[in-house]
Amino acid sequence: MKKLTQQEIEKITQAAIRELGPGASPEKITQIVNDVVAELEKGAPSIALSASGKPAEGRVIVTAFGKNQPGVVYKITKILFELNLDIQDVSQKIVQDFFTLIIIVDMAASGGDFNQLKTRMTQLGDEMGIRLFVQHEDIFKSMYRV
Amino acid sequence: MSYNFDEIIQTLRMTELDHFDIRTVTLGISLRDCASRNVETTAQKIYDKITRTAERHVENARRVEKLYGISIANKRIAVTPVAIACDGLNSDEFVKVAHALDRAARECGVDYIAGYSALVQKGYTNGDRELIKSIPQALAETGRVCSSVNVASTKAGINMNAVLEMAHVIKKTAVLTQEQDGIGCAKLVVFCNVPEDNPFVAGAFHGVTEAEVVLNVGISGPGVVLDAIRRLGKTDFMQLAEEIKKTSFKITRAGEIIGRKTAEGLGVPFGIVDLSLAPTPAIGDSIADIIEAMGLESVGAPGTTAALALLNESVKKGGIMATSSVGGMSGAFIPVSEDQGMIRAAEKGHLSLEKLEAMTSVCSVGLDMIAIPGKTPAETIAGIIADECAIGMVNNKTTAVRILPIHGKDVGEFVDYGGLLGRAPIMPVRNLDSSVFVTRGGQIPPPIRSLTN
Repeated sequence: MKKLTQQEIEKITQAAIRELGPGASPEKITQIVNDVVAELEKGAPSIALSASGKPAEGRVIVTAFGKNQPGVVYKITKILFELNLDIQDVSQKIVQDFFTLIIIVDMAASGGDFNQLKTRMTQLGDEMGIRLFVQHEDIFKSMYRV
Repeated sequence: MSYNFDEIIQTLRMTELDHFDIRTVTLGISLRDCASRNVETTAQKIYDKITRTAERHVENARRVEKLYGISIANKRIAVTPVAIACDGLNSDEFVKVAHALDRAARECGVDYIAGYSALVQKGYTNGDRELIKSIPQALAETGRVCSSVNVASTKAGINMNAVLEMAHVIKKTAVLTQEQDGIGCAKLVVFCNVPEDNPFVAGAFHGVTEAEVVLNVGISGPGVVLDAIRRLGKTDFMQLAEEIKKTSFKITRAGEIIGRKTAEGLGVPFGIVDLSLAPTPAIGDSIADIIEAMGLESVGAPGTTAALALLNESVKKGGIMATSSVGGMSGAFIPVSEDQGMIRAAEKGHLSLEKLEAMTSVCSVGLDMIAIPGKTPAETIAGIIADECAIGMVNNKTTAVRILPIHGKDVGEFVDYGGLLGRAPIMPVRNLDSSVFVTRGGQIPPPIRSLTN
């Protein structure tokens, strides 16, 4: 159970007013805000986190490293397919027995869930004994582009 | 592909092999509205304000870590110097405030909260005097509270009364926390020209000119710079500086985006990026190793100060292009116990207190995490603090002393705190008397360069 801060409740109120538009009456707003606050305080995920923390915007870079084995690309792309994520670019190199695979995935188009993608990839990495990294592209953009 | 294959691999190499992380995201919270008529209410207001403001600090920082795949080593809190926020309290009451800070830090899941501080470079208020008196007890009775006192500045000169008093406070803290090898002293910094937006604990606090709440970020990355220098091989100094600048640019950009996104997630303004290379006791994450990779047999060898100056300047030049919001200490840190290479050099006797002092004239902090014999007189410690302050005052830079007089231990022995605080060999201090000088009392006047207008 988590208490919402005054600031968070104000945010909810403002959102309710915006959504209701001309149909907003003080009673209606109070009811909606009370309902939402009660729901969230029951233990639903933090409102501000889901509002500002949805990393579905932009692109995500999936990098895989490891010993080459049959089915690596298949298993990784299968997860992307199941999560309905759009692959924008793929690049792969194999040196001796080791492969490096980089896939750029667009999250925005499909409204994908970053956390889900990360969890699935980490699981797959553990199962196959390879290293899988999932990172938002902003980090690369800021480090390598002026 | 919009990103070069090598760029992506390089970033992963930085995080996976070279210990690249963001050292700290520090949430600064103003306590100026928390004073009240009695100490219980004040302590409660402080506790409430911190826990309310920083409730999601740790959770939010973890989300950002996950999003970018770069770890944020520390999530911390800094508050308005407590002596300013609660000027009317006496020393026993200040200890109660320290407990409130400690509880708030625990509640928010942060390991350290800093700002049990006073600014006395030109003189004491009653609150300053009482807070300073309470520091040993406050640090002994709490686990997460960090304290700092600014005793000198370029504008004001050096408050030698405060210097001597702080030497006694350090000694007393060491005695009160002797069962944990004087760990209280690891949470206590004496400053000259303290920055008001420093995100690095133990010396952090939320300056009085800052906004209500602000998020500052401290970068790290000695391992990344070390790797770049090793790959570069033997080149001339210009190329060496260029390579460090490029690396620093990348580190700072990563720090900047992580800071901004963390602040955005909390809905608070983003403050500054502190361009400091901060080492950890992990192998390879060492400033000493960088200096040695430049071609010196050991840190402490003649040439060390020049190497450190080159490193520090290049880090700043690369960083300044990468962010518009520079602040804090912004320079390399040379803590002894937190840096494997420094520990090694100190153990072998390659690094003396005097060489460390010289190094502090060209880098960001000062004599940091240095263990000395517990029997060292307070007057000698005061002399050490005065010397550091003189370097800071005359050169218009921040200097600090975080020194650990380990009760009951002497040269040849070790102190081991584990974790980020690391372990330190007890270093010898010159056995010469400074007492007549440091007990003169009063103020060392500010230098000519304080008259800049």
